[in-house]
Amino acid sequence: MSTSLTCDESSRRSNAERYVARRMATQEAEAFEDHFVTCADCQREVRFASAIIAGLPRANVARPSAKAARRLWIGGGLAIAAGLATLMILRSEPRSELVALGGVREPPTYLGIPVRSADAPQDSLFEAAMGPYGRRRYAAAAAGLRAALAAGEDSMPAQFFLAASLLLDNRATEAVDEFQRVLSHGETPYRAEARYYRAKALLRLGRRADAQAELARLTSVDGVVYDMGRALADSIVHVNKR
Amino acid sequence: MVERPAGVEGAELEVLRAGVRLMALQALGNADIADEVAQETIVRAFHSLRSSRPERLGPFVAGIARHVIADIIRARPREVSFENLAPDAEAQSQHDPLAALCDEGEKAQVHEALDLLAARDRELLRLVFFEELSPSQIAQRLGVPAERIRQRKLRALARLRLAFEESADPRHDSQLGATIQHGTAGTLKPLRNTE
Repeated sequence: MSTSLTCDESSRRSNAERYVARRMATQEAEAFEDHFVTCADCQREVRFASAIIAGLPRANVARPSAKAARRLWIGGGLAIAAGLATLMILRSEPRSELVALGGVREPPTYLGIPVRSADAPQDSLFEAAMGPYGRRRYAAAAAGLRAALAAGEDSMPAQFFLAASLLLDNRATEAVDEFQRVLSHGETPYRAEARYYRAKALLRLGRRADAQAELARLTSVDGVVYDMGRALADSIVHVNKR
Repeated sequence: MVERPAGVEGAELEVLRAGVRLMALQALGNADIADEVAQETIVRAFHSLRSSRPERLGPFVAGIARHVIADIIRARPREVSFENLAPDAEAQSQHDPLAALCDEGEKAQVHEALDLLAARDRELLRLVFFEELSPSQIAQRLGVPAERIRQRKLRALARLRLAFEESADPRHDSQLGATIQHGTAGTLKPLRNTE
């Protein structure tokens, strides 16, 4: 549920900066949106903050540090990141092309839906970890989600997004294991997506046959994930024929 | 013919269009899709509000917008077809959707003002916006008093704000003010029937 929000000059600036930079937790961002949708002053602050961010690189200001740039590349690469450049360069090598098929363009969507109706401490850890996830800082998200699970978080969202964060952080081996943990829980809302992304992780490791076997376990009841899985399976066959 | 909701004037919803569009831009980074989200949100709100009025219209409409945005995100393809890879796909993957939140005039004016700032002030803003450091953290890193960093940040932002205000498209603000002032339904754009 959204909370009301103070709107004075100081908080407007701070809120807009943090909103544009995606540094707000989900609930706080929603509260801000609930407010600014009717507040011209806050809308102006959001546009102002975004104009600065858009202008900084073009003004020949130093880009984010090497570490930050790497982080942006790994995380923000709309995740094709790891695979795309390789794919472009090594197009003639089928194995590299197969590995590139393990790239992920968009991270699995997190909609900020509370894990439980009542907050528990581990849920706060989960929410805190999903902040970096939303900002495409997958190493930080993975560390936070591990902490949430260690604190007793037993929900599938934490387990699934830990696996997704590892995949997006180019830690395919760990991702394969964590997606397997999600699958070991049987019928959950994350089962189909866990299969699909586990197949992606397996492709990253060059395990084509295992990836195909994983995709073959998707069924038509999995809806859009089934369609995505079929498309990926077709691509694997296509690339493997070369 | 479009029916008017029982509890809400059409113009009241229209006032929220700019804010909803901004939400969509932040989430999706595409101006055309943001326009679609704004239109779809207003249509859905219009239909939902035929019989009753929520206590606060803003959160109600923002909630609808979040659903519309979520639907779009869910429908997006999550992998790139191998055959359809564009030559500039890498560049596209690093495109900053934040740039879509403001218009070209605003960006250009702020860009110009940024060029006029001292290099150390640009670096300060970079640390604030890219490295996400607070003034205290920056002060610690640079070994200067935190208060000095705060003052430098405020001064730099004030200069940029001046440039931004000079360039601001009056349409962004006047629509809200004018509609509230006149309170007419005359500004309501034709609604697309989604049923």
